[in-house]
Amino acid sequence: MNKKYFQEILSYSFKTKNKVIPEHLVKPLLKEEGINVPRYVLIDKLSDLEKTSRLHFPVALKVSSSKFIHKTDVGGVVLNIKDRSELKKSVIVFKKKFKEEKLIVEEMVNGNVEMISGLVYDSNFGMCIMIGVGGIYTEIYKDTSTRVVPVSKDDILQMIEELRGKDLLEGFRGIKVNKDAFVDLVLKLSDIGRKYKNYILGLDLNPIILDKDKATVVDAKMVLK
Amino acid sequence: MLAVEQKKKKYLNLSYLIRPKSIALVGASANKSKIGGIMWSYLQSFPGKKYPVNIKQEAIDGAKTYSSLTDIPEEVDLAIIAIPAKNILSVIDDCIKKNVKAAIIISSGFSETGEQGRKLEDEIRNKISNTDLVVLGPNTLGVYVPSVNLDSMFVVREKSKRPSSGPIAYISQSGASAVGFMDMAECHHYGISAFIGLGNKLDVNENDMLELFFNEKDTKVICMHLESIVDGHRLLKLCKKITPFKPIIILKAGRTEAGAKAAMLHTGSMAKTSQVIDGAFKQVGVIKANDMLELFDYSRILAYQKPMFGPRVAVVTSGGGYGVIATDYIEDSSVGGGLKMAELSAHSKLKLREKLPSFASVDNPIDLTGNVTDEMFDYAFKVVNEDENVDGVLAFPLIQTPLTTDKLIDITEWWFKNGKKPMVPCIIGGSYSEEVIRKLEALEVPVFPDIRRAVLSLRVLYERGKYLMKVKKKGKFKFRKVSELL
Repeated sequence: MNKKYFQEILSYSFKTKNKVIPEHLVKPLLKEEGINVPRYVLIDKLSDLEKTSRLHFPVALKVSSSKFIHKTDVGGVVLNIKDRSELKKSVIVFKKKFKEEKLIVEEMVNGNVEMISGLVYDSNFGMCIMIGVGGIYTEIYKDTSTRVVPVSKDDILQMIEELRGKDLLEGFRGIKVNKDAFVDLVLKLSDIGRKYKNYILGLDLNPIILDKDKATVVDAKMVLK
Repeated sequence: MLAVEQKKKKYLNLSYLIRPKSIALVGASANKSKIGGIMWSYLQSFPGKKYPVNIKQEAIDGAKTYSSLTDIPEEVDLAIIAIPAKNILSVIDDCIKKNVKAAIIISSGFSETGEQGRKLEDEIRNKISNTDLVVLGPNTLGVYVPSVNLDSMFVVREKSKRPSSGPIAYISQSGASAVGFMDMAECHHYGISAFIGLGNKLDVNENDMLELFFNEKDTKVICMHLESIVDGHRLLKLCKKITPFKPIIILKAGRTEAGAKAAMLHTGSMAKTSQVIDGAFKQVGVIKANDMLELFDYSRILAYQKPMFGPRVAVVTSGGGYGVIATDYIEDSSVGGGLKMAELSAHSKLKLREKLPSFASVDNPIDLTGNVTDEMFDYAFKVVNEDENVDGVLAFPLIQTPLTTDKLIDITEWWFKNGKKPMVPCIIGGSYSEEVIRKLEALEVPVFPDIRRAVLSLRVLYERGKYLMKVKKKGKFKFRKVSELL
């Protein structure tokens, strides 16, 4: 049995014939699986702005659409919005620019280290899981390690050992991060991969922001088979 | 026939590829300059029954020749087929009629040449799909099994020697590489239990070979050179079952990516198939080789030396310069071994100080200097083997120094085989050194003519040791025959 939010993803894909799943449908799935995401509000129309009163500023505004898989490339992300009036202005601009699309207003996350983790379905070996040094430079560093799903805690620790940037998780220069929280997140991702291996082609969690307490998935992209 | 029954039967028939009681060579020739002639002459050393099949029925060395497989009055276990591709289909029909257990199609002109060849392979696959006949190839050198004198290779022995019998099963998808590999193996006394050329993998593939050699008692190590992977999922499952008992070393050549994956995602674009393979191999304890030399070195050291259960290496040398380079390679994790230089115990240093010249270094690397004697080497090997802080030994038993003699060969052999700690010897030099290396290799002591190769081989021994400790900790491995998994 697929859980509620994965089922919603499947119905969305079926109805819209889209294989690319927008962020606002992926985040609930992550939450459902026990993965930490920032607090956010979904905006459909301008009046939804009221719902943002429960959020703490600064916030980020993002377009959530299956058309724009790389949001930044289309100017679909505004970071560090400091107050309500600034948010309203940005939302008005976005509503003009991305008429049909849903918007996400999300609390900004502070952290010390950005990691990436993801799933990818390999036609020969099945569902695979990857971890790496993340953020916007992730494809420059190409510092990653891959395994076949499912992975154990020991496997994940060994994967971290293989990263050139492994010291980022070990308190390099006194920068405190919760390595266990990251390991736990990867374990949960592996479980998503195991459960939904027949559906998922790829799932990116990037960046995953680490601080001394937790690991938070700031952006997530999913593509179905 | 039930699918499961057929699978079991096919699995059992695989063993006829390496242990047939009777062989037929389809395409045998009296002309020794033809492939069918060379093969027939090499098959003469096979002690079982041999039947030449030739459509023209020309007599070959006085042996009775048959015009087809079905004319042979007795049973045929293995049919080796070396006739043009276009005539293959009727021979496969004959194999099925004759209830042949296994066939090897040596001939080329199949999927490697294009669409028409691919269709021909499909036709053969269809023919055998409801039978228990196993087919190796096409486009292969076939098999070479020194312990039973079975040699189906058409490459002439004068130019490409055959290795002797030993513990390593060598499976290669590339024929030309296999010729070079085995010639090198012969030269270095790298003993093989069997060679299997997979060719185009029309039927028999690497997974079948893993099953076969897992249960072959003579095989201690399985070494594979692959260009494609037929079923990655099954490969991993089999490797996971086998690696607690037998090391598997794989060279996966060809880095082209299979299929378009979710390349618009970071994970999809960065987790290439080659990286997936690297990670997957680690999960199931497979040792990865990057080239043929690594495949050769790693399979050899794992076959002839015990695993190393810690990263701390002691270096025993009479040349200080070797020690310095070795130290760099041992500790470097990107181009070297990613191991550690052992910190010798105070007791060891004291013991070394007692017997070594005052100008020798008793710190690791232990430098016995140019004044070294055979006895000093023996003594230093003894000390490092007894040191609790040492997990493995890199030895430079250099014979160029004035006071060392041939006795050093025996000393090296003794410690290689009887030392508590795994030892990897490295000797560098010209023709005289080569001679010494051959002498050691003939005693089943692999020697490396290069520092980096020696260090990487130590790393592989440690990788193996670490993996064994891991599976032992999990403690869930009971010996189970792979055939039960079918």
